[in-house]
Amino acid sequence: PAKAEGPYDVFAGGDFVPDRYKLQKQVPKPPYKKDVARDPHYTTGGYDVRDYYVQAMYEAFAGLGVFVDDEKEMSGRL
Amino acid sequence: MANSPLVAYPTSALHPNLPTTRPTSTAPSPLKPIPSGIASPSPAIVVQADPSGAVTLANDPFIPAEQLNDWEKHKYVKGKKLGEGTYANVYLGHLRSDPSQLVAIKKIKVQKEFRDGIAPDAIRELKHLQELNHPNIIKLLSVFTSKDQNLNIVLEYLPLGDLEGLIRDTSGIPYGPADVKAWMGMIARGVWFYGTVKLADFGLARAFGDPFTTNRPMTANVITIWYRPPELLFGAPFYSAAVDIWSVGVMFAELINRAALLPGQTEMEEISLICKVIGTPTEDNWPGVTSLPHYAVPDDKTPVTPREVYMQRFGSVGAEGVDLLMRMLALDPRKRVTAREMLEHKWWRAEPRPTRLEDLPRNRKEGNAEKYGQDQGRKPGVLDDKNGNRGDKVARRLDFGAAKK
Repeated sequence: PAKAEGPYDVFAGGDFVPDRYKLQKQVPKPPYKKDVARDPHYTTGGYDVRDYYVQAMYEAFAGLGVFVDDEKEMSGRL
Repeated sequence: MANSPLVAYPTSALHPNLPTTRPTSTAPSPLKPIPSGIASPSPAIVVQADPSGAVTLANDPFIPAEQLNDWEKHKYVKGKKLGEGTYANVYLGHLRSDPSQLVAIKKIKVQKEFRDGIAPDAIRELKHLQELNHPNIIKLLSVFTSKDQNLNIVLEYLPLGDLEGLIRDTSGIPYGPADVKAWMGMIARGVWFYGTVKLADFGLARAFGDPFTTNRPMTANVITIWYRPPELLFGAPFYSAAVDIWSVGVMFAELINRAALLPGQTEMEEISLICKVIGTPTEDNWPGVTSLPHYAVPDDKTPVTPREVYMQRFGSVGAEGVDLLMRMLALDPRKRVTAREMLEHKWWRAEPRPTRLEDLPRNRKEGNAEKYGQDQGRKPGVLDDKNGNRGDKVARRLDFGAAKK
């Protein structure tokens, strides 16, 4: 007799949705000579350049609204 | 960004009383000081020892590092040794201020190869664990050095043994498909949350390789052989988080059948087993595979195992479960399910519903603490063989031709 529960949340409330940027489905053509998105040397082992874009975009925006000095003052941290 | 699960705001090793999440817009004034766990706002050096002997740290930026380290060390009481490995000794410990709060203290050994500094395993473990804050990933609580300059890592203490023990103990605890689903949910979340890692063993973890700024390929020799995906066995110079999905797929199959799926003793044997059990990787099912540096498969090629065979072997998790398993064990990493797709798979919503955490079968046998100690003491990612030697069975080069002669 399990009590009523909502649907199983596989992310356990932890899904990450960026709120300051959105990733396009289309992979941009990189301004580099190497075409890592298509070169079998990179892709045969599963390397996916989209993972790299996910990481790069995340790092570009991560902490954009964080003001270190103000917040240190606020929290009284060292 | 404040609530991003990818940015852990770990409890500072030095200030465990501070809130773990940063104050957000809910604070009435952004500049108003918020109450913190710091005992004294005074800028002077103030060390307060409460009756239990715990030391609180005052708000001063000029405290010598040695002293900070001593205070950190003083927070924990080291107890009996749980295990000893080539990489570390592991001790049971507890908080001085609250002896009921158990921890595991992992004292990293000075390794012969790395006398001049900290072993790379330890650096990697620290680097990744301090970034990760997730219920399905082991927690790093603190770091300090001991008198003999050994690195001590304080970790969450997990006394209930691991899934491997549960799987192998076939005469012991019975469990069913709903339990498998619940465990898989935890494993899958942990893997999704942080790409290329193992859940409690981060010594060999690394962030995404960056093909633009470096030509250095990633090391192919990184995952314990039974769980190593074919692209790593074939020495692929660049790979992705799909390597972990394979490992989780193998664990999934082992959870269902309570038996090892691909227990190869050497890389060569592992490849043979993959070919036999899952199918031979060929240009047809994995374009480009034959050009991988260590590509070598037995001559008698086996077609990719069809769904019906999986249904016979793993049918207890239902058709949806078998579908997910097959996608996790896709030979071509580009066709393998991603961590996100894995979590969005319909199996999770199919009957039966996953067992609730508190109702899961538990392994309460004695010996788990010792097992935990041994696991944590072992060099990350490497299983000791019966004689305690590591890696002896790992063939560096694959040469099926030579093996046949």
